[in-house]
Amino acid sequence: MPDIPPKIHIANFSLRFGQRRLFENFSLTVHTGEKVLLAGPSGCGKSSILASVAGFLQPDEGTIRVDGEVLTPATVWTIRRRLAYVPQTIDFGDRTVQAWVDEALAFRNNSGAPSIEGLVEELSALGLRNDILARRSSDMSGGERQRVALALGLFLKRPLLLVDEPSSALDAAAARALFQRLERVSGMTMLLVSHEHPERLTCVDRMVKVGEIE
Amino acid sequence: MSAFDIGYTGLALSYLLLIPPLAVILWLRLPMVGQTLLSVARMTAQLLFVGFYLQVIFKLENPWLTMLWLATMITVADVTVLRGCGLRVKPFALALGVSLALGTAIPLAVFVGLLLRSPNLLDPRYVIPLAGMILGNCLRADIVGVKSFYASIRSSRVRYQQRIAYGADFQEAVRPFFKEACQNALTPTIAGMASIGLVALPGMMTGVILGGTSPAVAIKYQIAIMLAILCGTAITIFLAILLSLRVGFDDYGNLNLRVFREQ
Repeated sequence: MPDIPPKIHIANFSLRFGQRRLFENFSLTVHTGEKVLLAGPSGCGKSSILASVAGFLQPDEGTIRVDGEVLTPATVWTIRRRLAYVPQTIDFGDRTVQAWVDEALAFRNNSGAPSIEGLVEELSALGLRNDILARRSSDMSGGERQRVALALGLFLKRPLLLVDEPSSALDAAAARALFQRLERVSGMTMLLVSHEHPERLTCVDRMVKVGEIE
Repeated sequence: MSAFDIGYTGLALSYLLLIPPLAVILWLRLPMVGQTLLSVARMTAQLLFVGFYLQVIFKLENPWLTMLWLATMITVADVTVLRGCGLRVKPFALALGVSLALGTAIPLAVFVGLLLRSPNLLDPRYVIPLAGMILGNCLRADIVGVKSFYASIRSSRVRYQQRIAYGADFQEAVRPFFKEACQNALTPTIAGMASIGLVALPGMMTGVILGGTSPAVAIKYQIAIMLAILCGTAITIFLAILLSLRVGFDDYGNLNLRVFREQ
């Protein structure tokens, strides 16, 4: 049986913003089906790792591989088709959730998306009612927007899910429901950034500490 | 009948029209006396130079000289657009230059070749004033559209990246910004067409009437030039954004912040 490459393999990753070095020779391997938490103090660059895997930031040095494929300009769009990235800040313009979802499902890459009922189930599992689809972004709280974005990320059933601080704008009960849902996720590899205490995050298989260099 | 020459005395007297605006500026102590005088001086010098130069070009009727003049107009427009958009000139100059050249050349060729049926497509008497009118409008449309496109993606970077994060390819990710920019660029031209003749008599029509042509002929010219302007602005804004994408974004489809003059 041929060796299956890790879902994500980050090697000798160095990243700096201006004079500030965030990472120096950082390495990380996430195997297929694993759920990994990136933990560390605020501003240490956890979110930058997710953004880099999605191709939104380029490391100064090092390589990122997804399914064994090195992330380069030639492969970035193919790799993006295999992942969903739920950023911490959600902005889908001043329109209804339904309009946003319809637009996202109309992307060529989402032509094989499951029926919309699945999305309603995801919204419900995250503690949101059906009527959220008719609400405008401007009438929603940051936590509701985050959960809608996560529901869509889960609904698309991509092999790789990158989630950045999904509970940052949620109360304790909503955060619990969210992490319970993530615990039930199967068939996906998940890289999660969260400020929650790792002991409360039973949805992950392991934690990787990320520390600031300077 | 040709236009009455106001002469140099008449031209000198026209500067009396500066008294009311300068009086308002001085009375309200607006900090624009120097700017106004400088603008008037520049306008005078530039038009005197152009008048002299055009006389020479019209007399020589040399197609190479006409093309050189057109190329100069497009180059100046190119730099003006990029400065007006807050973008660096060097990376975008070619894309914008091509869009301005095609946006001007296509309606101009139709106007001169099909409507005026001129055997000489580079007849400076037609080509230079018509190109000036079309190019001037293309320039305004490009400033509005290109600026709107890049400023909008820059300020909505989260929304742009989010589209990619949920499956959009590059074309799909930029599409709403592209649409909005084209709409912003074309709206003034389209709105201007709706009110033309009712609110203001356009410059070309006024010029043709002052030149001794009947208003019935003047409106035909005006209608044709308005359509040529709309055609030119649509071509130029569409191409300007499309051709600039290669430099406006990096190889990963992310907005290239280095193209902005102020980062």
